Amino acid sequence: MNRKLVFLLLLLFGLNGWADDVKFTMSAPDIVSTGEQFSLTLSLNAEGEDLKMPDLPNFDILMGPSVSQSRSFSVINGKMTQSVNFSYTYVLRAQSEGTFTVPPASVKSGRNVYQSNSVTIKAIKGRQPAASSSSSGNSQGSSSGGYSSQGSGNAPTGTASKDNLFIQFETDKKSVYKGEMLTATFRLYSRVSLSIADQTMPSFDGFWSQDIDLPPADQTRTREAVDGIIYNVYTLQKKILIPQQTGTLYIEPAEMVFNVQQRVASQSIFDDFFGSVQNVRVPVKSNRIAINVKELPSPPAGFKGAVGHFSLTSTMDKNNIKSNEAITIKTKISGSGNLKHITPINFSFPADFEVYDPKTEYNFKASESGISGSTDFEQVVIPRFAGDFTIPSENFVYFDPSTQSYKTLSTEEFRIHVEKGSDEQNKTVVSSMSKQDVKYLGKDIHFIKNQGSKLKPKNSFFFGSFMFFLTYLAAMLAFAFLVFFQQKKIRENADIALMRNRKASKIASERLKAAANCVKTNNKEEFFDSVMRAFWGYLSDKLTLPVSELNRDNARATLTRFNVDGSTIEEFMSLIDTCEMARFAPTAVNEPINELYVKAENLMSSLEKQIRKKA
Amino acid sequence: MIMKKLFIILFILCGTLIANAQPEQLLKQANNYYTANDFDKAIKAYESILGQGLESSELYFNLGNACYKKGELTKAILYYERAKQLAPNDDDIQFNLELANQFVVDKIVPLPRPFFVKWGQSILNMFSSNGWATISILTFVVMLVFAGLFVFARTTSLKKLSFALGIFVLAISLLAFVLAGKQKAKLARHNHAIIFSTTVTVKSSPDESGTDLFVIHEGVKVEIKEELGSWANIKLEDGNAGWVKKGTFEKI
Repeated sequence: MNRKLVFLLLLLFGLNGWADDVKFTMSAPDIVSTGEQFSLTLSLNAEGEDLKMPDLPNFDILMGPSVSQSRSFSVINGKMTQSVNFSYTYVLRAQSEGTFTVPPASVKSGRNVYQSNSVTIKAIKGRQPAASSSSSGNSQGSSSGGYSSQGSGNAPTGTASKDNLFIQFETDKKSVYKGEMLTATFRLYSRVSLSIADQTMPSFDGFWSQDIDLPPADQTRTREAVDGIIYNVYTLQKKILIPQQTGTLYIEPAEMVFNVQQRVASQSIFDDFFGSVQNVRVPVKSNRIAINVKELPSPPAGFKGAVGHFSLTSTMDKNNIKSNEAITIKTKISGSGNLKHITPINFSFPADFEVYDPKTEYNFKASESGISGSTDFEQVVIPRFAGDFTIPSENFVYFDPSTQSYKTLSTEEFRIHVEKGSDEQNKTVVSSMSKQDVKYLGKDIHFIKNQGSKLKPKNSFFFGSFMFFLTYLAAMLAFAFLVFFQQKKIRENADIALMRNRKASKIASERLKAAANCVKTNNKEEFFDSVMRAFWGYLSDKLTLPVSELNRDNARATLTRFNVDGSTIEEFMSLIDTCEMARFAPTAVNEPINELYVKAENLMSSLEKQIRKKA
Repeated sequence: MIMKKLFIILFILCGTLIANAQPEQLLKQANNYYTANDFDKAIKAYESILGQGLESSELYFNLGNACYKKGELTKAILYYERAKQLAPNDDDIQFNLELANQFVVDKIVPLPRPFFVKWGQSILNMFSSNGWATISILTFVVMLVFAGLFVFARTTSLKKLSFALGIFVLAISLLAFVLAGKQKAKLARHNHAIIFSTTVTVKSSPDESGTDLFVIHEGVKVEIKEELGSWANIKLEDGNAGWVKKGTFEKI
């Protein structure tokens, strides 16, 4: 236990020791001109002694080493930290042109000896060797956003001509595809001490722009030779630009106003001594850069403007759910490129799904290497009905400028099994049924008719045609024909009735004669039969009624219609009754048949008289 | 019996007049092209049937559909209108015509018409000319049957009934006769047209110097009131009228 504690403590102290690790660094300007004085600084964050400087055969040591040290103590929450800074400064001058390497120096601190890094210094031929210099140690990056140039060969207070001060845009590419990233760097080149008074940045028309944090390399001042003159170079801004249109786009000049310190011509020795300096406002304009933006080669279907290099993952949180539960489909497009301009992938969901708009989240960083990170889409859908559904795979097409070709990524095909949700179905009481309108997915014309009426000549009408009127005529003729025949038949029938009427009494008297014969032979059966036939036949012929339709009732009615006397009808009825009875029961008739014959003869003559009168 | 035979004979006569196997084959072929989404060939086949001087509402309808599918909406409208003239009461034709008319640029609100005119129009448009003619003949035959019943009826009540029904049916027959005549006249007049030029400026007089009244676009249905030289007086369904050059429209 104790051991462990001790170990832990040791470890902590050890870490503490690591934190104040000793660093010994050498720094000097990258580029100098011959004859120029410059300083080479060795700094050590501990107390040091016994500095061993290597030989510097190509440089004159004008001064040094001058040692300066600083100490600081700080107490934070009762914890004291101490920092020490030792620095050794040499003032050097390059003897000739060339690139020289200063080998590492070494210093002893405590018990250890530390080696510094080596530096490489390029010396170029100096123009206008320094007349007077106001070398001012290392006054790099002075406060309040101002930039002051280190005392260089030329007077820092020289006139603010183009030689002394200019600003410039630089781009990493001059010809890009639409949507391809490029980096623009805005730099200040100066040989005078100055501070920024005002600045107007261009609007970058036609580009989507994004400021990026300056990488550490650009945060410090560098020295750079332009046309043989050494400038202090400050990186003011770095931007990622993505062209949004094709053609030649321009980065318009930026305009800046600097306050430049300018020495006034000395009036007296005091002025000279104290240095009479005046601030002058100097407006500066940067260059104008033309960027050639090429149209993307003929884009394939499904391309929506993504340019860069991407990878795609798509996930669905659940694939086995109940109806009315939500599913989230996440699509992540990661990589580098115009991530800001990626449109959500359009999934084709089944028509019954309730689909919400996708949520877009950008997780990208703009850095020197471009825009990288990811664009995430989150889409929530709610299946309203049970069933098995498939969300087909969708394509994401992007243009890769490095290979100058289109690439296609695909999402997964999702299969969803939706079960009936328990929320509504298990309810025993249905408060209201919600009916759903049939969803119309599209509208189209009705399909062609495959069968129908026959083709007929153009502008041919049944109406008014010969056939039309012929049909009328035919119908009328047929009707007339029918009526004519019917009438004729009626007339013929009527003629037959007349004949029968005429012949009725003759036939009746003949039948009665036959009955008379029967009286002589005393054939009773034959007698009654012929009497009946005589009377029924007579009535049938006279009244144009078939014998089969005659019976007592309609005979009485018909006779009444013919205005036959009531007594005569009664007599006729009794005679018929007697005859019928005699036919079925001959013994029941007591009257002698000769008397009946007389009766029948009388009746016949009276009927004849009365009916003929009517007819 | 005789009547029936007469009709059969009539129908056979009509049949022999119309029957022509070749165009029927062509129509079937065209329908097959349409089903196979080969609209160009379908249109050619349909038009060759029209070129033989034959027509039917189905032919115009199918041709209209093929034009619609090919994107020739103005032509589609023209053919639908022609189909509608031959079959005024067909729902499919009406539906497709309305769909095609949605692509017409101009929104023309027809003038409101009195209800009896509307009813009259809808009754008139229940059947085509041939339909009304057939109805006229059929009702006439029914009238004759009632007349026969009237002549041969024995009882007075039957006579009365058949007389009343006969008069009623005769009235229908006469009405159908008149309507058949009207439908035929409407078709024969060809006084409606579809604008075929993309844009047409309607002038106040039959002259290039006439005042520009309004502009209409292709697909609009107009009524031709009068023709004068190379100009025609047209009237829109909303009542606006003016003169346009002949050749900017196609008569239905």
